[in-house]
Amino acid sequence: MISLYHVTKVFKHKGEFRYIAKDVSFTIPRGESIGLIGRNGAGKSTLLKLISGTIKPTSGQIIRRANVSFPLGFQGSFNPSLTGEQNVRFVARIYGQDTEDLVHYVQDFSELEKAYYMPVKAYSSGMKARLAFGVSMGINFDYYLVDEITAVGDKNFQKKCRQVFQEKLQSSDIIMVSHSTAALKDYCTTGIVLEDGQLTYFPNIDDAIRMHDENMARR
Amino acid sequence: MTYVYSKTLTDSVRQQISIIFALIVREMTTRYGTKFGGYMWAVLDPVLFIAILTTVFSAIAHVPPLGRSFLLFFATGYASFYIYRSTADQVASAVEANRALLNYPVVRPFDAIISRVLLQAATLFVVNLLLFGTISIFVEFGQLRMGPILTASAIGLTLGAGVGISNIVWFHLSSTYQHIWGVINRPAFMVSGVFFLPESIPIPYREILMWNPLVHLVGIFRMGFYPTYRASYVNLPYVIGLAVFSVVFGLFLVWLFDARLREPK
Repeated sequence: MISLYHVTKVFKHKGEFRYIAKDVSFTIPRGESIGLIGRNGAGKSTLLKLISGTIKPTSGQIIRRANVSFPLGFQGSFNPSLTGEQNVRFVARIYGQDTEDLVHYVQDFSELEKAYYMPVKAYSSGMKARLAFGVSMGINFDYYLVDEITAVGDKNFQKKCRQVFQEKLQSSDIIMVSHSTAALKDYCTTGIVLEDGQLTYFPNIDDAIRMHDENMARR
Repeated sequence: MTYVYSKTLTDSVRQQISIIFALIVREMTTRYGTKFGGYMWAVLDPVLFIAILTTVFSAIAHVPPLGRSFLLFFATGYASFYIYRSTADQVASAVEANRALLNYPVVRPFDAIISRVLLQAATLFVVNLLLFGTISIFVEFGQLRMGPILTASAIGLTLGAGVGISNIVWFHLSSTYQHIWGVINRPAFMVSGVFFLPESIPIPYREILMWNPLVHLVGIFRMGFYPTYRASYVNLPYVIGLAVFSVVFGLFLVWLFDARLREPK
């Protein structure tokens, strides 16, 4: 369970305040996969980072009674001068996983072949995303935080991702940021629309998408 | 597979240790790249610098202010100064250098700081062993006194860590301050007693010099190598107090600005 209590996140830029969340209280229950929807710059990724704990709210509190993944995105958190394999080793260590197991799992999953033993700075963004995806799938989290990453690689790889994800969904939930309506409908059952620092929860993802479309039409 | 989320104290301590270990390993593999020698340069760098420094200065001066060996006099001065200086520099960039890794929520700025301090302590230990081991081939030491040597090293590490930790926050908040700090600190080793003894400085200036904790630090360190050297100007409570205060103050700043530190400049 992840609970937000009176969470406010505000960025100040050139004297102007931009609210990502304004006094938001909300509990994300277990057993639901949530799509986060909002216009560009609404703060979806920031909200995901808040939930994961990599950044802190300006005020309020976020309590995680679950094992929450790191935000899974294109940019990745990899050290560019280390090889893919060394980066995986690092993640295995900090999450207390068996190093060799995870290294092998990711090697199989990512299909990076020789590139697995090359520095990450030589990777394309697609390769980085494969590595990131492999790493997080190799660790069992209660919540997977996914930031626009489902469209990684070719058709076959996407198929494999979907398959692994479906397996994960038996025991884990995902919170996903995406602009792709199809991806949202595929993975998520419920939705949250983020607009002007307000969160609106919809028990049905279709309603959330409709609300978002209305928002977009309005402005 | 569902599991109840609960974490015991032992679990979190174990996780903390493995995070710090992982950061140290990462640092050792990346700090000097994957090219020839790799981490070895972290050790060789100061050793080579001291060698050059000593060669140059023994050509300029005739008699060292203490003992008979230029090499030992400059090495003791610079090595003790370097303990403080390198720690302060390394720790100050600890968070910035590990910024990408803060994307993992389990890694906190605090972990980056701890791992840098530990790695720096280990590196300096090897550096000094190598340095004075080499020097002992050329210069005959008297009886070494480990008490003052270890005391000075501990103070240098602590003070360096404290200054570095505070600077993590200040550098993050203001790049102007970072430039000013760099300029002010460039001549620091000119006024820290690396090349001279504070006893040789005339009175009004000597008192000003005594405010510099590094002068005390160098003095204590030298007491370990020169059995007859008293360094009566050393004010132990002052330097130890300052070192401890700097760490407490630095950690307080990191705690206070934790949210800001997690975001890019």
